[in-house]
Amino acid sequence: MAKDTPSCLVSLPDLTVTESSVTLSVLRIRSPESVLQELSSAFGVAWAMTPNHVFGDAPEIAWLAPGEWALFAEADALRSRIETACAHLAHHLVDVSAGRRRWRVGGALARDLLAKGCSLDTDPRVFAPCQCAQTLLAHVRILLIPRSASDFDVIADVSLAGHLRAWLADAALEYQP
Amino acid sequence: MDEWLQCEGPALDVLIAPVTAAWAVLTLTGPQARAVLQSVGGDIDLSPAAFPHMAYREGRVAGHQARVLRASFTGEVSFEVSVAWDQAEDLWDRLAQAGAPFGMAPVGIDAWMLLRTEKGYLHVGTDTDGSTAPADIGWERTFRRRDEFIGRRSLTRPDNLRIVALERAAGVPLVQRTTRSVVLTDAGRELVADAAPAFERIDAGFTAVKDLSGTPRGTGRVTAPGAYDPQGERLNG
Repeated sequence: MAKDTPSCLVSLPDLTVTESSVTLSVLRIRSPESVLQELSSAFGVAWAMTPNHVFGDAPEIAWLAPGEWALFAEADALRSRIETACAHLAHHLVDVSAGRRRWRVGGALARDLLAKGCSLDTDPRVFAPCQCAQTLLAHVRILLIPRSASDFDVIADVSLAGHLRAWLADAALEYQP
Repeated sequence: MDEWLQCEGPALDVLIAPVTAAWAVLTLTGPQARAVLQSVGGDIDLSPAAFPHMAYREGRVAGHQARVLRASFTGEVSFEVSVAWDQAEDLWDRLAQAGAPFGMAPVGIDAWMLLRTEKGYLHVGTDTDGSTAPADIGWERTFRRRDEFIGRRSLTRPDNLRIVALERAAGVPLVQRTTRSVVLTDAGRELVADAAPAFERIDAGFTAVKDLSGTPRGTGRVTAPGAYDPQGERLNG
């Protein structure tokens, strides 16, 4: 998939918004309970069934739904491991990198900015870097992943990127000095 | 799709993967579609014999990995080329460049829909509604199915008083249809004029009978709701 250089939408002392492509594949498995062991050893990580949980390192993995995970890697790089682990189960791995964009929202005002269009509580006491959530931002369905107490990844469908880009730029206007 | 799977086929070993946003489809349509697609280069044999209507191939088109479907909305030779979304702009530019010598132009959705309708590729539910019978839209071929289906008897009744059946009985077209209007033909106007007095007499007949309803006659019986076994003795006996 084509990668582009991240572009900076907002650059303020307490708020930055950067847009970029994202490498992302989605794995779906029917009855994944029976292959947890196989998945864990194939990826060298305790494969988690916990909802909204982010785990792993290479690749990073985020729970999306029962039997459904986002893996931040190209599908071709994952396929042999997945095939081995899920050999006898109905499963599906698809690269959706071309269909998603990512915005990294960071700084002391990041949570304030998100709160303008997202009703989810992003306080680090309840939304920590090992978690993720699928929620709405400016009416757009997003995958939200906290990277620290004040840095967040927003991932959304590319077909709504124009709207989200304009909304983020507009929402940041009031913080301009 | 997910709702359908969960309601209708929970036991099926099926997974649904929404991938719509990851793909872009560019469609080339028209008598020169093959020549244009040929000229951007690729490894798919586009000849009619190797790639017939309603066939599907995977390969490279103008340097991009693509899925190509030969399906048609217009009735002309068409290739629907699907590539990763982020490749679409480049493919568009290359196709536009290759198509320029052929006079290729973007087609609007209204023209697209008109071509589809004229070809008779109908959208059931858009071009038809609950009152449309297959014979109204030239789909008599559905009657040729050997197996039984609900509605077959009604649809194939010789006295089915739909316009098509009336035209069959009259032996001449009674209405002229275009995509924008339906008007009576000369024969249709004549039939309406000839038949109108008869229908008026029928209407008058019903009106006369209805007028009699103003005159009470016969035996009346007044009962309370739930008159049968009101105390529930029979029910609980």
